[in-house]
Amino acid sequence: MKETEKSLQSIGQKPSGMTKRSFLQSVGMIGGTAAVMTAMQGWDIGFASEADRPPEMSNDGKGKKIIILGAGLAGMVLAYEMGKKGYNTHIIEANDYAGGRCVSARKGSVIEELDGEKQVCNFREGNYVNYGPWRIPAEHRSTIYYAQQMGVPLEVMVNKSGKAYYYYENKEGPFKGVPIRQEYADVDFAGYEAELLAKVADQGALDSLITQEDKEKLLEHLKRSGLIDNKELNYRANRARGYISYPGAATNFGKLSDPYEMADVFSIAQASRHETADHPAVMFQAVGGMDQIALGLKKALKKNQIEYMSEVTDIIQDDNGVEITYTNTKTGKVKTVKGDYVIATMPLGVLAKINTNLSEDFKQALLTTRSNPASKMGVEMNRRFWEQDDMIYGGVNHTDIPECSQLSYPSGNLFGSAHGDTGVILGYYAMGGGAVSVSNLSIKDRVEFAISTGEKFHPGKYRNHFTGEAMCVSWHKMKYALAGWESWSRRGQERAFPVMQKGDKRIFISGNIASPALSGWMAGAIEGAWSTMEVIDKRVAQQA
Amino acid sequence: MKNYFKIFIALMGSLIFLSTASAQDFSEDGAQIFTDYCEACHQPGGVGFEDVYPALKGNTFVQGDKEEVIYLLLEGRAGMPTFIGDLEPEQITTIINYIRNSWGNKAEEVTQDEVDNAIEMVSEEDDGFGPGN
Ligand SMILES: Cc1cc2nc3c(=O)[nH]c(=O)nc-3n(C[C@H](O)[C@H](O)[C@H](O)COP(=O)(O)OP(=O)(O)OC[C@H]3O[C@@H](n4cnc5c(N)ncnc54)[C@H](O)[C@@H]3O)c2cc1C
Ligand code: HEC
Repeated sequence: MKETEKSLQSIGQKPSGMTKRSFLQSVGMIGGTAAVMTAMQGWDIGFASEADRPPEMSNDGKGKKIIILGAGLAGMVLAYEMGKKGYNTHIIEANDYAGGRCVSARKGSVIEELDGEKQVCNFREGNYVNYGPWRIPAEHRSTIYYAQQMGVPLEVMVNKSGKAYYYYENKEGPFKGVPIRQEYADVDFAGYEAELLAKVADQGALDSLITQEDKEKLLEHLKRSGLIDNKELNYRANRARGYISYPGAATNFGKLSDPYEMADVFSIAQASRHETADHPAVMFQAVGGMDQIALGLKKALKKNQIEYMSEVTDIIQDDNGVEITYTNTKTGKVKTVKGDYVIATMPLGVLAKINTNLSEDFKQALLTTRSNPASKMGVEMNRRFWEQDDMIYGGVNHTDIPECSQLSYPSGNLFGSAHGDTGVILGYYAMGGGAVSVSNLSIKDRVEFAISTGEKFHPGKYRNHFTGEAMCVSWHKMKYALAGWESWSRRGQERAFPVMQKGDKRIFISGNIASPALSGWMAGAIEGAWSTMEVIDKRVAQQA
Repeated sequence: MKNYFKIFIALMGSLIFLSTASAQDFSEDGAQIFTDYCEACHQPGGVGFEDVYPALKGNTFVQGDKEEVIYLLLEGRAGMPTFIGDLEPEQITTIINYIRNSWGNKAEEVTQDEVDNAIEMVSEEDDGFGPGN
């Protein structure tokens, strides 16, 4: 019953008296867990996040004109949902494409950072790199909702593959500078833990902590894990860790691989880290590139609902409305447009540079956020050697090199079956300080860094099979983002977020920053948009 | 101490002479931290980039109230990142003193105690799983 209790509490309904909980308990007694779950669904007490569809809005927009700044996911969701209700919505976008950070690079794509080195993508047909969002957990039902609404097929993104590597070069020990298979490290760690725990339990060292009965259950569980032998309780070679020579026909029984020494395994830091709710082993991606989700939304909007290459420079409100001034980035022509409300979805670092007459308090509130730098690199390979030679199908290498804390193998086009024996590896994904220092390098040096890092995992092959085509980005140097994503400091979240959320008269802030707990996720942008449209809808409903 | 990335990259291509100046001198260490963690935005010499990344050279905020500068480095502000997870407390002190006393800037030194106290004020609980999306 623990689970039930938790899900009730998590939505703020503390069980008390003759409550839902006691009813659920009695249902559980008769019908088992399945009956409890059905009963819970009847009450709309789901197990996943509440936010799996847009909010019901109460009115038809009353002809109000809503100007939305930015055609990222948040801006397009706002235009789409409010437009459907009857609001008159219009998006002003600085870039020449829709999607903002939800973008992928494929043949013809252009990336240009602030200091001006322009990259044009020349990947082969079918190859792409998600240089913005790249993985969706099942918990993010809002993101999945729009993929489904827009008919964008999702496929598995392999976030954890036992065959991928851990790599530490700044930590002393036997594995310094040696890539190790994650399954070896993870299973060895769990195996030695099981051994130690079983032995201390067996020797009575846990007797003051647990009952005799629980101790026996624990020992039973450890023995059944398969990791330790039943008699001596020793961890030893086993099928979870796998084989150095896999079994075959006739008398080929294969050969199990030998565990690393216990002390050596303990020197591997990351092995003890678990997958989390938002980073499970199996995640999802849009087939053909994550930008398909943005493109789906764009297609659902009316023609001309988005005005491109229009950089907003001024947002000025008075009692009657808001006036937006923007410049055509190609022609330099300046235009203005008026609306009843404005929703700004550009990142706040960008908004901070725009001329506004927001109240001083409101401006200060927006400044309590911060930029999280993020850098990514896609390198194209002319053979899927990681699959063919190393049995790696998707997955993420973790390293202690700050400029390449993650390197990921493609989950799409497995076996080259979709468009041939090539693929784009996510050569590095760095956040924070590491993302900054890599962004200091010229594009050429970044590529060299990526290739020489990849050589640490696949010596002699990585450089050899590199087609010479790469695309990289440092989001904190992209003019209309200035951050991979933004987040609130703890103090900011307590003091300033509530100020921002209410909006300042006719000006509202939305997008990813409106979801402090989902910072850096598409779900944060989408659910942020949902929460903003609800606030505005209530406001409009109150007006006569 | 975190490793110095730009030197590392330079070493990959060619041989360079590594200075062995004393670590006490914050201008040596400070310059390196500036190169690795600040220069990408604030530019060499702290001259800034257009109206996007402010110049730190000749900047009154930088040379003003110590506490404000400390909190800025620890918490970030709009387009400015936090460096609390990337730099050791000593490095934060060093970089602050460096920007307050370089390129003609002049301001009172901040002490390690002042930085440590501020860190205690703002540090957030680390659940152990690391950052990311
Ligand atoms: C490297 C990286 C990895 C990520 N990984 C994941 C992931 O795995 N899974 C996941 O779910 N999410 C991930 N995210 C987060 C996700 O991409 C974002 O949260 C989401 O795309 C943000 O949408 P948004 O609409 O809030 O903002 P944006 O997409 O930034 O939209 C804002 C729009 O405003 C425009 N704009 C800016 N300035 C102006 C101006 N002056 N005038 C007019 N228009 C302007 C911009 O061009 C942009 O189109 C990742 C992001 C990054 C950068
Ligand atoms: C990702 C780009 C980026 C990096 C890297 C960066 N900054 Fe900044 N910094 C900014 C931006 C943008 C602002 C302006 C913030 C605002 O809108 O108020 C800023 C503001 C500042 C200010 C305040 C200036 C003022 O006039 O208010 C100081 C001081 C500062 N940065 C120091 C540093 C130091 C020191 C480092 C390196 C440890 C650093 N910054 C790294 C982008 C960056």
